[in-house]
Amino acid sequence: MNKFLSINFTLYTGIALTAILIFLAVFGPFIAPHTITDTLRTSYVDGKIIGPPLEPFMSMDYPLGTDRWGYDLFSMILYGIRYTLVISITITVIKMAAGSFLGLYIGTWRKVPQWIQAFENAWSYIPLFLILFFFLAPISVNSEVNSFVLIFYFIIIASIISIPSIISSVRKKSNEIFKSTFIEAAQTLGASRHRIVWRHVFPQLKESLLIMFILEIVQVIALMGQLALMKIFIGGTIFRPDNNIYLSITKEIAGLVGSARENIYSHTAYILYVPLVLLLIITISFSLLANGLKNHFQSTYQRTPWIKTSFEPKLKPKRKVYAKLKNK
Amino acid sequence: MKILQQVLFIFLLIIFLAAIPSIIEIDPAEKNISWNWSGLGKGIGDFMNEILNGSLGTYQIGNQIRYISDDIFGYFLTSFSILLAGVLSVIVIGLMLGIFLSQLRITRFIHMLLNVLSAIPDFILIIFSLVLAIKIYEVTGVRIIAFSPESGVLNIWFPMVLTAIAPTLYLFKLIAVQYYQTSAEDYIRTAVSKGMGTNYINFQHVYKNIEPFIIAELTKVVSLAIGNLFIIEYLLNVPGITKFIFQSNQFQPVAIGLFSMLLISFIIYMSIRFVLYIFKRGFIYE
Repeated sequence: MNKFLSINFTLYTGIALTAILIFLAVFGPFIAPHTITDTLRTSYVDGKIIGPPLEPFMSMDYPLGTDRWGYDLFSMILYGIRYTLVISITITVIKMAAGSFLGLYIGTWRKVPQWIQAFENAWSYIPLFLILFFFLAPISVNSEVNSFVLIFYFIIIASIISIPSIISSVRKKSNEIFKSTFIEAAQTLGASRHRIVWRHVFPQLKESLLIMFILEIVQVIALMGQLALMKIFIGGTIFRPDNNIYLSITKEIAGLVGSARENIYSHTAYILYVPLVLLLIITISFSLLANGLKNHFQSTYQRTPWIKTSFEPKLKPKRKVYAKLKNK
Repeated sequence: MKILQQVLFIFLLIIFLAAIPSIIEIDPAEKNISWNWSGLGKGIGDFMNEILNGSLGTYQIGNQIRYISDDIFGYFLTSFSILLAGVLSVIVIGLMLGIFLSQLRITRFIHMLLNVLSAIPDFILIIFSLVLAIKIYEVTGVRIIAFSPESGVLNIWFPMVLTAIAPTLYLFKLIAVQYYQTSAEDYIRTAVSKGMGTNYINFQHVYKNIEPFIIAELTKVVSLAIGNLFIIEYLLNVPGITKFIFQSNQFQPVAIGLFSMLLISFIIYMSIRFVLYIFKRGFIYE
């Protein structure tokens, strides 16, 4: 029983959920029962009228229901999920690569210039989604630009503006390690700066950088969601002024949430809940993955508190057994 | 010196942000995005002119053009009170749950709840709280939120709660990790072995050592709260500073709005520092 409890469930659930999401992102459009332009025609089935908006679980053909115009929600999210995942992961790769590269090197400087710190502080004060809002607002709504150009543009700007915060946290970690005695020993032996960074500092940070990577994906999705609430959808917004309708061109999940936001006040709230729940599942699976990895790594280096705290980690440290004890 | 540089950076950043909508435009002929840098100079020039003339300029809301100076005071006060109440409760809840009440059994349960919640992005939490408020109204008939700016308290208190959610989760997580780290230190062992009570240790040893981290993260907490405030004011139609920022793409109101936000966050940062200072003076021996 004890062994059963010490399994890192968080990690395995996270891995399983993420695998499912990636599968859906790759094969989504092939599984989808309808295309995104198919609409449900009003018809009589067994004496009942079936017509849009159809609620979830009412019809086998439209498992998650349709929106007000009869488009299938299930197909919509299957088409959209690849945009959400690919965009967020691309941004994270770019910003983590650039940020950790610069951060590792800046961490080995003896003194960080004052203006860098001042810039970091100033930058962290302004919410990132606001910067993106100003960049995207003039070009996103009813844009004449191809939606791939808009996505590319979003990826570039979102990566650049989030690099400073990554540099800042990697820099602090790298600097902390740079103070250790084994670095001093390496320096005495004549190791160059590059060797110290890649052979001594980076291996110590591998695990925390991996966790940071996964958590940053969630941050990017959160950013896309915040923009979507402001009616800025990644890949372009279609605005129909006659009914005040905002539509996402790419059907990206955060965009679907944003465009269905007004449904919260009506009986068709499920149009909002379907993409919202999926977005929740996406973020939770990445968080679970990150937390599972954290537990996995942390249980190895864990310290024991002297007073009662209410947040003891459940996992026991697994240490390598080099030789068996004889007298137990 | 560092503070001066910081102020300079923020100043430049705000000017740049306010000018972006007039810099970026779509080239209809080539169907591409083009940057028109002349917008930057013109925006700043107009802004300076207005300020030097002693007026704050105008902003557009719907089809109306209004004077910023007529509305700014009320908007400022609304945003300020929401943010102040939000951040103050963040600090109080964070400290209480993180340090002083962390021994109670019920806190353990709250910890679990907060840990789960902190995995969810804040905008999803905001939407869910809206859903919850609407459902409560449907079931019980008790009105929790109102979207009309004239409805007074109803339009204010719910934004306060929502603003506090994300920073609370952030601060709580930070304090929890620090508390765990600190409680493994040798001086805690010494205190325990001398027979001191847990409360005493929490106040005199743990809090004192966690305070620097809290102060270091205070800017982040305030900035998180501001980020949420922007969204909440927009979603709930609160008559706050964001009216200047999201309603129009003009340089003038956006710059004024962002500068007011800066002022608000500075005042709040300082007052929280003051509260923490008073707390330390009152309860903890130096």
